Amino acid sequence: MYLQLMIINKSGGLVYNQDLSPQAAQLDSNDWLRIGSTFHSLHEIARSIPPGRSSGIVALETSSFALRCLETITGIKFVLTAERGTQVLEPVLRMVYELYSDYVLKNPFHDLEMPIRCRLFTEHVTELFESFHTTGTNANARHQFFTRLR
Amino acid sequence: MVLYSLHVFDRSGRCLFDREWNGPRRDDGSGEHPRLVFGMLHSLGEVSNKLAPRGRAPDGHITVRTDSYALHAFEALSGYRFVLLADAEFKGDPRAVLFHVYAQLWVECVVKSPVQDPTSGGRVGSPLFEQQLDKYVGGLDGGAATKT
Repeated sequence: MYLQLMIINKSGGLVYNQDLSPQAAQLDSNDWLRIGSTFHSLHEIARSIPPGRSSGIVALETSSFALRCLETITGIKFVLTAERGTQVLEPVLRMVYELYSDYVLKNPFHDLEMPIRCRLFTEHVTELFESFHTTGTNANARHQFFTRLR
Repeated sequence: MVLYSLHVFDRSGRCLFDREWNGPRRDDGSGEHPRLVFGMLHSLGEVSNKLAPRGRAPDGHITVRTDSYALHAFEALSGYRFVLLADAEFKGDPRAVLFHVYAQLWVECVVKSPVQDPTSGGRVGSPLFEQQLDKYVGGLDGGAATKT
């Protein structure tokens, strides 16, 4: 199942992170900041490996976990880690991006590129991942996600 | 399923061997490219160790994907790193490929060879290894591998 969610701004600073499972690695906030900026740099370096144009890192797989990164055209990166075998990854990142657009960007008190401290965003993200853990299926979760708007 | 290149690094990050197939040359000969690859993989390994869930031991394999390529790396317990650059739709099993290159090709042709010294840090020039590698890669690619 899902382990952690991170959101990195376009300068490489970590603006949000959340543990999604008790199996997730327990790290302190400094470690998270370091991981956020290291990942940002590696994401950029990965572009220069091939001779032609390439995006940054989209996925990372090891024997113990999988990572997916969604980079928006505004430069913000949504990074999700999950245990191997977790089925739904990219669509989940898009759902988080939607929640970000609704509850962070439209929040008049939020400063762009600053750490995210929007209660509604945190609540909705928690609810989203809890719904995955309880229903356990892609179809149900998507349905629940889109019906929240009505 | 197209393989682009293979690099072999020692524990300290020195590039002991590299070979390219199928496509424009990536390495401009200055040694910058292998260093970049090694540096990126080393840091990604550190980040993965931090992010890994508790209770799972790493097996030395890591895969990095972008929209245009996939980089597969295997680090043996002895510290040798084998890095394979392939296209994004690599259908084969990269773990099996890398392990084969390590166990059946590198160990057999280089480590066990009395005339090769992979610990010296210099580039390994083993015609036998190169020949076996080309043959193996040619077999994987369906015979389409051409040395760049």
